[in-house]
Amino acid sequence: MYSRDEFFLLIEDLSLLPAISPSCRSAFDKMEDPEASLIGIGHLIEEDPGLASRLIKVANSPFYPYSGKVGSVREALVRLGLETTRGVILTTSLFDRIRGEAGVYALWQHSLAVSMISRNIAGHLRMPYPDEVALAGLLHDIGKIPYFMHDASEMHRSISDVDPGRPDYKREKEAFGMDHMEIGEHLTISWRFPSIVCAPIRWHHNPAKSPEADRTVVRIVALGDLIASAYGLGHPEFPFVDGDILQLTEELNLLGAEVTSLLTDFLYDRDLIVQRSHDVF
Amino acid sequence: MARMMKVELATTEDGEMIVQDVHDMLGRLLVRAPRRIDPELKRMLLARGIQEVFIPDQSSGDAEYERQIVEQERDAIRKRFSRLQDTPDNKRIVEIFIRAFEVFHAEKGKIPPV
Ligand SMILES: [Fe+2]
Ligand SMILES: [Fe+2]
Repeated sequence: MYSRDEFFLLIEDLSLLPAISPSCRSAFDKMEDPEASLIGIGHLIEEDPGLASRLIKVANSPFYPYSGKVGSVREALVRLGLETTRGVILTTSLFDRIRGEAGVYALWQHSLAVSMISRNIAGHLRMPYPDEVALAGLLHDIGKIPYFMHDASEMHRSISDVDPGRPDYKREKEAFGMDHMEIGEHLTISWRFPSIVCAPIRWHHNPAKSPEADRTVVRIVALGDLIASAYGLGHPEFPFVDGDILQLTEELNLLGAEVTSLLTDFLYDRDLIVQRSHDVF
Repeated sequence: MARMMKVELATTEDGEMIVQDVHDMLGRLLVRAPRRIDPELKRMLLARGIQEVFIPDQSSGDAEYERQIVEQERDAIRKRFSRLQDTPDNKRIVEIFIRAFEVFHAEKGKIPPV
């Protein structure tokens, strides 16, 4: 059991990006410089060969809906965009640190699932920023990673002793003093992601409370989260649907036929995730 | 009963479906079927000394097995929605998810939707 202040101190360290290499850190700094060129950023990333090859792998993976093969870091940067590149690097390097712990692979598959559905929903709604919506889906549960880093046994306990009456975020609050939405928001704000990415992380379990400007994206990620859980790519520590799917589809103005087509599309993606999610992690 | 076959876990492809519950030597349930194999699951089972699992015997082209897959998925979906109240709206949404699975499964060329 941790108090909120105790756990907050532990995650403070993570907000300073300890998981990434110095060259990658310089690449991140450069990404914030509006004058910087993609070639310059690409060169910095290439100084870390593991990272460079992973980025190319991600850009070529079936989880990003582009055709044609990418062969260089620069092409990967063009294809993924800077925000997604940063998100993918941070997510995969954090996941690397907890690889092998029970429940981590499931969390990775869940994150990919929510990212893919969120992008599809954004496409149906003709949202202007499908990549940012997909990134919000990928990062929505990033706040769970510090639990595995600092007290994996507590996570194992909640996985082996699921309590249908207590959703994951309630249990987290009791054990760690902070739920994963609060932690995820703190981290992504410190990593300077835009509010379209941070808001869904903070509010995906309570979209009604989210700031109005970002509420549509919050609802999309919340709906994606529930669809993934309904089809078995949820969280092992709470494998239940715990939200109002009907209300979310109505608020997003999704018609019945659109919902069915989103669900069947997701079932194809589910097979892909189960078979190929180890390609990039 | 659908046909299944016993295979060596270490060489079984990720994505393959385990169709019979897996227990450890003390009889404790490790995996409830149906469950797809993924790298984490495989590692966990091998670490607990499980060397063989049952997967569907595709050589039989068994329609009964296909029906069973749909039935198992239906049950799993209902279970995942079981925390929600038993209202007409919630029942409707569960049916939409089941129906979408049936459509998907039929599209994949297995069986016509029920
Ligand atoms: Fe969550
Ligand atoms: Fe989630």
